[in-house]
This record gives sequence, structure tokens and C-alpha cells, in this order.
Amino acid sequence: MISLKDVSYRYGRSPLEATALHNISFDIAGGEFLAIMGRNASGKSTLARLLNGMYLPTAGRVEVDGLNTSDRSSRQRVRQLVGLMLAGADRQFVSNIVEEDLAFGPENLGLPANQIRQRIDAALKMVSMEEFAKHPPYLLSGGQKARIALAGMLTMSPRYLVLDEPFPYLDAGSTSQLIDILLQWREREQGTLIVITHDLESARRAEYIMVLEDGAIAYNGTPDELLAQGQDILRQWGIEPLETSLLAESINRNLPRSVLKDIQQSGQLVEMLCQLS
Amino acid sequence: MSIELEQVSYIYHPATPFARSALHALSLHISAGETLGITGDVGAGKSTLLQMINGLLQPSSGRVLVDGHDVAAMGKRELADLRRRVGLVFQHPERQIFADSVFDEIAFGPRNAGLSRQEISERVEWAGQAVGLPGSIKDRHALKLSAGEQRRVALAGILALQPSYLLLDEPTAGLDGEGAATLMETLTRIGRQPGQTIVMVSHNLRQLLALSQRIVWLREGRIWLDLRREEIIAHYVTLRQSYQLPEVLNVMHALRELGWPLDPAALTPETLGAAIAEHIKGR
Amino acid sequence: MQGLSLSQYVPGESWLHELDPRSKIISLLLISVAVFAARGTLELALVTLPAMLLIAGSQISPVYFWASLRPFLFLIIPTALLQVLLIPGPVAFSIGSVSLSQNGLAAAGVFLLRLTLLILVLRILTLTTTPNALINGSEKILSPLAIIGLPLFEILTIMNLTLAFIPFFLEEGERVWMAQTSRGLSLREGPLKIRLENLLALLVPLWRGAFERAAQLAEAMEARGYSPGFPRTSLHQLRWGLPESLLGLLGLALLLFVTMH
Repeated sequence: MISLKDVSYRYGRSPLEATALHNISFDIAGGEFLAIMGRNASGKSTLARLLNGMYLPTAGRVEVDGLNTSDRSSRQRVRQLVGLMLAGADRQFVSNIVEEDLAFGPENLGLPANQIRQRIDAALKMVSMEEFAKHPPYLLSGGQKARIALAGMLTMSPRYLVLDEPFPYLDAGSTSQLIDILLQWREREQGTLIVITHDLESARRAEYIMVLEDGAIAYNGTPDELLAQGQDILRQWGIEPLETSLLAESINRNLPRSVLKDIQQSGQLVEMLCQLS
Repeated sequence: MSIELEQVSYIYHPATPFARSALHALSLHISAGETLGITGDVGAGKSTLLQMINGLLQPSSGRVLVDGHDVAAMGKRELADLRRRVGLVFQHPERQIFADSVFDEIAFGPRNAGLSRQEISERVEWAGQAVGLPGSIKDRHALKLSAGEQRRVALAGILALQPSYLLLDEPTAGLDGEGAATLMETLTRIGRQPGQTIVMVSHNLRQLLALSQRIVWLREGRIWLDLRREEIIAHYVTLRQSYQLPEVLNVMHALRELGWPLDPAALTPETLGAAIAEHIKGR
Repeated sequence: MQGLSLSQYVPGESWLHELDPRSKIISLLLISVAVFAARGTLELALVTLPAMLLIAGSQISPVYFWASLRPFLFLIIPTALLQVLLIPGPVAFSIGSVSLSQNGLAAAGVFLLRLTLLILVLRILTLTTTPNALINGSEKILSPLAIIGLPLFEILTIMNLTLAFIPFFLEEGERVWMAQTSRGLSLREGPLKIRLENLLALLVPLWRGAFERAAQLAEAMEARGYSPGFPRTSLHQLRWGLPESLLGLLGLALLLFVTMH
């Protein structure tokens, strides 16, 4: 479990500096899949870095499996428990060879060579990239680079994976496949998934969605309840509504009465339309 | 008036063991005034294609012709002129911001073009408005603005050259939902101007459907599909096999399979919604 | 990515690939020095032979070696030509009114051989040894220096990352140049004032980009557990055996022979 108690984060030291997060408190239970959404400046990225101790709260505390991230002695352990992938991860390989890049994490943890080898093999298998062990990462395609970046995180055997929009250039299909891999990982390793995204389609695959607005939690609940908030509120939070919702709303607008309600899947939409005609 | 790519190939690191082919004998015709979307595998081929149109890169083989003139045969002066007619907006264009003020940043292109002070001022004003930047922003430091605003400043910098061909490489990459929607609205407005050609590279098919009259899919450096907007739905099954498609296409296909006579060009939530509503009302 | 032709590792299973990196670093350095110290036909032949054997032993296609030489040709060939044309001595033969001296030809020949061998020998090292193995090996070799408090691993990591940043700078520099050229940038034409502004238009984004990239890379490394001072292990196990000793002795022998002869 990761818990945040009255956490605030402020850039800089003077009280006049921008506060990125204001008094946030919430828990992420083990095994959960949480999506975090909100505008670019809402505090999402700050929150991501607080979860693995890269940023320390200027007020309050962040605890990972009981360890306080502000505690120096816990630092290495927290980094190992919480794997954080940031934007541009597919351009930050530390070696020209895949397996050496994957070895970076475990080497930092001080693992013996044979364990490092095992972890590399297991991680490559999880992302279905076994035959690329000796390849140069920069010669891979976008989707493949994303998987190697993910594998680099998996070799640390984290219990929590936090992804801060690491692959903005992937198309819908590749993104979906990546989420499939993440869900497989979650099941196999009993891990916890925290994904920061702008894409509501990806976010709705999560169990919970949290929306940040101006450094505070504006919403924390299930995807269905979030969608039920309506497009205006979503837009207020900087979230682009689902395509299907937009379509349903457009249909309603052009009809004398709103006939489509609560449409969340395109299959539903088609069914209802058939009934109407 | 057009852009022609004739059997264009591009090879990275030629004659080394790391040689990689980005484009293979690709031929493409782009008519003046059209709005073309380019999508396909995530790879450098699409960016390379754009960079060949404004002469930054030369094809390894084949020719690129802009308004009938071979880009490879152009001298310095002609290339400078070419880049005023073909404006290229790179990915994350805000990375190229360097000036002290928004005004100076947008004025960079016109200044290099040797325009008069008056003209420069007018162009900056016009470009700023075209992207929806408030006038008050002129003297502020571009790097102190929000990401979305910075991107608009960078876009204005290219628009200030008033290029008749506007090339954009993943214009909404990195922007949040709201920023992306605003930018797409801006581009749609710009695209409507008569004679304005837009070529947009994006991995986001939804965005391309909002804007394009024609979409080209690249695969392994070749053109896999080249479809006019109204032809896309006829190729639904083929597309579906390779890509996860936007919901409008899924819904459009399902309804057409049931015999609904919907305009095949209605591929945005707004237009499809209206078309569906019309059909329902008709019943 | 021009740095690649000089530093890219090529996977393989040759005995050179399998050798402990320390042995390769030491002996190939010794051989490189021997290449420079060699004087006279006998010595030169003696250093060329093992070099050729090592190249063959790496079982790597000559294409890679050629790719490493190409970037230097623009320097090597003119220098050799100058030597051929300018060094005086008994005439070997003449082409038209230009006479080429024996000394000139000999000097150019030796120069070409030396430089080619040097590049190739160093390339054998980077072709058969992964970057991590190189750092590891270097660290172990220099480890006595750690006793005087030198943060060895950090220095080597800095060097490795600096090397990694070279392609970044080239790439990013090219990108900035392309973006600004698309807006009409020219450093060679136009009023001076504008050209100076153009220079800023190249340098400011490059500088900024480098800082952002460094910051991003640092964050990513930290997120992956990198902690300066914390003891790190390695994927590769270093093992010094008979083949390693033999290679080391070969290098030593060559150097000694060449210096004493």
C-alpha cells in the first residue's frame, strides 16, 4: 500500500513559489490499477515523483509499504519497490545494447551477476522481446523501444509501477497492447499499477481514476462514475471526453429530444440506434 | 501548383553496416489547397518525408518537385524562397524558441525573409491572432508561457511566413486533451483558407479524421493506403485488421452494414452525429 | 549518429568477445603504443601481424572496420599525399613534372600503416567489448586510484555519458539547425545583426535542450536506482584466465621488442 497523508509539494523555498500539490491524502491499495488524469500543470507529474521518493514532500508524508520516503535509509528500498517511468523513457537507454540497458537497474541494486541475468531474461519474456537481447535499442521501432523501456523497469522487480505518460507517440493499438502487458504483469507479480494519462480510453481500463486539478484531488472514484459526471465537468478538468460520448451527445443535439443516455460503449450506441429507427 | 514526390527513397547511414531504409520508391502527389493526413508505423519515415519537401534532406534517389521545380536543383536563394512557401512545423516546436519576447520569436522568420519593419509587425500580429494568442502576450518571454501557449507561439512563427504549404509533424504531441483540441481547432480554421495546403503527420487517426480530405498510410517506407476521406469507410475491414480504429469508424461501419445510408465523409463525432440524427428523424 | 561507426559493439562469439575486458584494454593499448613506437620494416611487420590476426579473430565483417576508417580518410589521405610530395630524397619515380622521392613514399606508407593500424586496433576493442564491460574493466584496472579517494565509477560514468551525449548533441544540433533553417536562418548571408541573432537561434535551443536532456536522463537513472557511492555490481563477471594472460603478454612482448630493438 502507498499512502499519502496531508502531502504538499512546493517548488523552491520561498512561500511565493508555486505550490504544485496542496494537502493531498489518499491510499493506493496493493494490487490496484489506478489512472491519474488532469491538465498538464495539475500536479500529476509531481505526484508521480513523490510516489517513489524522487521528490520529497515539503509537508506531510508518503509511505510505501510502511516505509517513509523521506527517510534516507529507506531510499534505495523505496526505489526498488516503486518503479517510475517518465516521459521520454524510450529515448533514455543507458547503453547501446538492450541487455546492458536492462542490467542497469539490477546493477544499481547490487545484485549478483547470475540474478541479473535471470531478471533480464524474465523481463524480456514479459514484453515478448527475447530475441532482441543484443540489439542496439535505437534501431528498434517505437513500439519495441517502449517495451524495452518497460522491461528496464521490470528488471528491478518493483511491486508498484508508476508510468507518467512515457510513450506519447504510440498509436491506439500499441498503447492498448502495452496496457495488456502491464495487466499481465500485475496479475503475475501481484503488482500495483499507477498510470498517468490524458487518454480516457486507456484510463477507463483502470479500477479507479483520480483527477487532479490545481494540485488538489478533484475526483477519485471508478471510471463509470467519472464518465457519469458529464462532458462539461470533464472538459473543466482538461479531459477530452470519450469519442462515443461525443458522438452520442452530437446525436442528441440534432434530435428534438435527447434520446441517448449513459452511452459508454460503441456497441451500446449501435444497439440503441437500431431500436430507435 | 502541387508537391510531387517521384519514386523517392531515403536511406539512413548509407554505405555503413547501420544502413536503414526509411522510404522506398515512394510516389505521392499533393494538390494545392488540399488537407492531407499522413499516418502509419511509428518511425522516422514520416518526418523524413516532410523534411525532403522543404529541402532539408535530399532523397537518396527519386525527385521532389514543389510547384514544378526540382528541390535538388535549387540553389541557396531558391531554397530560402522555398522555405517561405513551405512552412515546416517540427515535433515539439517549442524546443526551438530562443528569443526574449514572443514578438521577437514570431518575427524571426519574417526578419530573415528581409521584410520591412511594418510588414514584420503586421505579420506577427496576424500570426498571433491566427493561433489565438492574446495581444498582451507580445512582450512576455515565450518560455514563461504554458506548454500549449508555447506551442502556439512556435506555430505562429511559421505562419508568419504565410506559407502556402504548411507541413506539421505530430502537432499535438505532448499537449493535454484541452491543448490538443484547441490546436486542432486552430489548424482546422487555417486549413479552410482558400489555397492553403496542409500536410499533417500524426499517429492519431482521430485527429486526422477531424481535418483531412485525404489520408495516406505508410508502412515500412511505402504507401500502404491512399484514400480520399469518403473512401475510408469502404476500407474499414482492411484497416481494422492492422489498427485499432476510432469509434466513429466502428459505429459508421456497423450502421452501414445494417443498411443505414450515411454520408461516408461524416467521420467526426459532430458530423456523424448529425447524419445519424437526420436518418432517425427521417424514419 | 556518427559516433556509432567508432563505438558500436557488434555481438559475436569469437574468442575475442569472450575475453575479460581488462585483458583486452591492457593489451590493445600496449599494441597501440607499439604501433607508434615501431621503426623500420621488421618492427612494423611485427606489429601488423598480430593486429591482422586479432581482426580475423574477432570474426566480424570487414565492413565494420572499413566504416570506422572512412571518417578519417579526409585527414589521412591528404597528409599522406603531402608527405609523398614534399619530403625530399632520391627520386623513386616521376609523374609528369612531379617527382616522388623514395623517402616520401616510405614516410607516407609508414604513416598510412600506423594510423590505419591504430584505428583498427582500437576498433577491435570497441567491436568486441560492450560499453558496460569497458567501463567495468577500466574501473577495475584503475581501482588502485580509488584508494586515494578518487570516485572512479562516477568519473567513468561521466565519461561514458559524455560519449553518449555526443550523438545527442549532433542529433539535436542538426534538429535545431533544421528547424531554424526552415524559418530562413542563414549564418553566411544577410546583415550582420541578423546573422548574430541567427547564431543565438542555434545556440540557445541547443543549450536548453542539452540541459533538459541531462536532467531527464539523470531522473531516469535515479528512478532506476542509480545512487552514487552505493556499491554496484555487473552483469558481466570478470575472469582472468590463461587466454587473458597470453594476450597481455603478447602486447607486452611487442612493446618491449619495439622499444628495445
